[in-house]
Amino acid sequence: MKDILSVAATYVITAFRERTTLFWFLVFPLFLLLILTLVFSGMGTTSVVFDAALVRIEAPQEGFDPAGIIEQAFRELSGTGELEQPLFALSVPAANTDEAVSQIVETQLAQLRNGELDAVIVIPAGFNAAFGQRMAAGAGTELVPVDIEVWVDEGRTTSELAFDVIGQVLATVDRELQMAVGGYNAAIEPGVIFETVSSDGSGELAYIDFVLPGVLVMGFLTVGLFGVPGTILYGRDQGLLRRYWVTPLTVPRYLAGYGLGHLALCVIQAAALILVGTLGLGASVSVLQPATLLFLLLAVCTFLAFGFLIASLARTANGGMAIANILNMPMMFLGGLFFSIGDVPIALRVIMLINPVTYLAEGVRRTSGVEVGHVPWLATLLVPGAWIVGSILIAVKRLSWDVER
Amino acid sequence: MEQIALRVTSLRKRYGDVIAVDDISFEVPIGKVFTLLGPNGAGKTTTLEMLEGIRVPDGGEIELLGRKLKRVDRKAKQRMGVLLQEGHFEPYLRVREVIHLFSSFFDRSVAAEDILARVALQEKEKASVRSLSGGQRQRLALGVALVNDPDLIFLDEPTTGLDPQARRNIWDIMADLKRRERTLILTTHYMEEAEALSDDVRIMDHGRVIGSGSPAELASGLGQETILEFSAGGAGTSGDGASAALGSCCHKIRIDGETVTAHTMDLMHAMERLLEWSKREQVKLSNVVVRQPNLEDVFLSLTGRTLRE
Repeated sequence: MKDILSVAATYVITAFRERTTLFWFLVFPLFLLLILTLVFSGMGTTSVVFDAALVRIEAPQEGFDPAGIIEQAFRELSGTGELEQPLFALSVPAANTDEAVSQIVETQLAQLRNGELDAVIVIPAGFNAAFGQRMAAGAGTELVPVDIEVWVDEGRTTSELAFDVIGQVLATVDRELQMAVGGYNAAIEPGVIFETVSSDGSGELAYIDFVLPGVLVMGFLTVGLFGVPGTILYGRDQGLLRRYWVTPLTVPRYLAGYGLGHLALCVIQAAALILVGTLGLGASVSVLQPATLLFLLLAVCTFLAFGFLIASLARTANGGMAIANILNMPMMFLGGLFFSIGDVPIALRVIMLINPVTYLAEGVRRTSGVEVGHVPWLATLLVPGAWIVGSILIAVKRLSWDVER
Repeated sequence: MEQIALRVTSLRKRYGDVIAVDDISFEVPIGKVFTLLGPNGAGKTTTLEMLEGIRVPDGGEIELLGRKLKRVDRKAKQRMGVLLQEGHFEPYLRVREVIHLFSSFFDRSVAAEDILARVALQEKEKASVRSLSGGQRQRLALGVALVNDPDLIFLDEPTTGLDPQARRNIWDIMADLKRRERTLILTTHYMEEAEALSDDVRIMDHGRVIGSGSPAELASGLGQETILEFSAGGAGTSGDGASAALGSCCHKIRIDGETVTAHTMDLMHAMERLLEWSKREQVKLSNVVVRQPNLEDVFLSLTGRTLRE
């Protein structure tokens, strides 16, 4: 075991002492994250439209109808009035009987969970009466709460943002209503209950939330595909591997040590990206969940194995870089790292389906609560796993310490 | 009975149409220095690489420290030390880190301090590999070959490309290993290196062994002949004139520019004829040396070429 640990330590030490390696491991992915976030995140912010459902359990009534006024306010903001830039895409499902009400609320919450809605506003039964009592009682009186439930998907940026906007809308409507009946009291705030659901996924999200897992995987891809064969083949060109080969160190043990060192560097890389992404750029994805970390580990191992495979197939460092370049483009751009692939032509879809990046990116995003794709859960583990096993077996069999075998 | 550290029987290696090593056999007793001597391309390094486990022989048998092997395995490597002809180290590692790294590959290892002292690199222990001079790197390589206190040490052209002082340092370390009764397998194309250190020599050319024995035995194989070397200055054709003057009293004459090397069985007669010719033709003789044959002469005698051709 000491030989494996020594090889790992050597890999880490030399990486920190050599600027080129350090650049590809740390500086480049951080730089890419910053650039992508700064360039692309601004593109969607000027036209945010929140998908919201308003479930009005309180039946409409003649005369003073606060629930109806609130509904109307949201309808105005959703573009039915003269608003040029709608704030909401509002749906108001009909709710008449008690049985239908609970079913409708559940349906809307399900849509919130799967990302079709950003928020669900529920105006409960008895709202009009409670609101009227509060108006009549005035300031300083202990009142029956007048609550409106606002359900959002905690952790999803657009959903949380929708809650803030809805809260402001409700506060404005409340103030206008109080002033209209002549009983405005600034001390009385509208009651809004903030409720959350657990997302299952695929709703709109901030670009940083989309791109952070992508850059994490891309960082592993770059250092795995280029860094690993680069250093191994350079070592062979320089006679470093030949020097190892005259000792009892075997190929599998060398690869194990190298892989361990590589994993250590990737942990440092991921920590830096997550730190900058969450603290500096406001990412909200939960990449620190065990399941997400498992997929990140799987990504490191997959690209490491690819690096070993390239090193075992190429004759020189330059040859290795050529193979890495050929693999890099389809792996990076046909794996959904930076942009959703959507409907791609059938030929490209074949590449996509054998591309482990497709499954790794999907796994990382799913487990960090970002996106639901069309890949079966099991495939997100099996396809990268198959690449790892196959690549390492070939590398162990073929990797030589010299060009001549 | 003498114990054998290494026995090689009918070892063969071919690269395509080229026969690199052609059916060579030898044995090396424990504690001896064995040298493969020959020019570049003679097959020395290929032979050594098969013994080190880098290359797989096409045929033949290797008996290494009592174990018969078709190819050198991990267990055998535990007791071997190897200094490669061209073996680099991670340039960003420090000297001590290199020693630690290679020590970790073996079941038994010598303390890093001892290795550094043995190759006189204590003061460079914190220096990075890339900052070392050629001689220091070679001493580090030799230190790495000794990290497991090996019984059998392979040294492939250990002093090639080094300046005289660095070469002398390496020789001192090798002499120390010999005193410690370690078995050394050496390749070189420096005949003085082979003469200074070797107990037994095989002269190789074109993949075959063409001469064997101790340096003294090989030299004595040339009989009672004496070597007369001199420079005949002045005209460019002086060498040819001297060659003609020495004539029948020298059975082999080699001219390299102004330098003449003549092999003779009758030194007195050869000297008389040389001095007569010099006086008659008024040619100035210089750098006149009379010596016994060495391994260079043996190689020349066997192949008609010098080691460096």
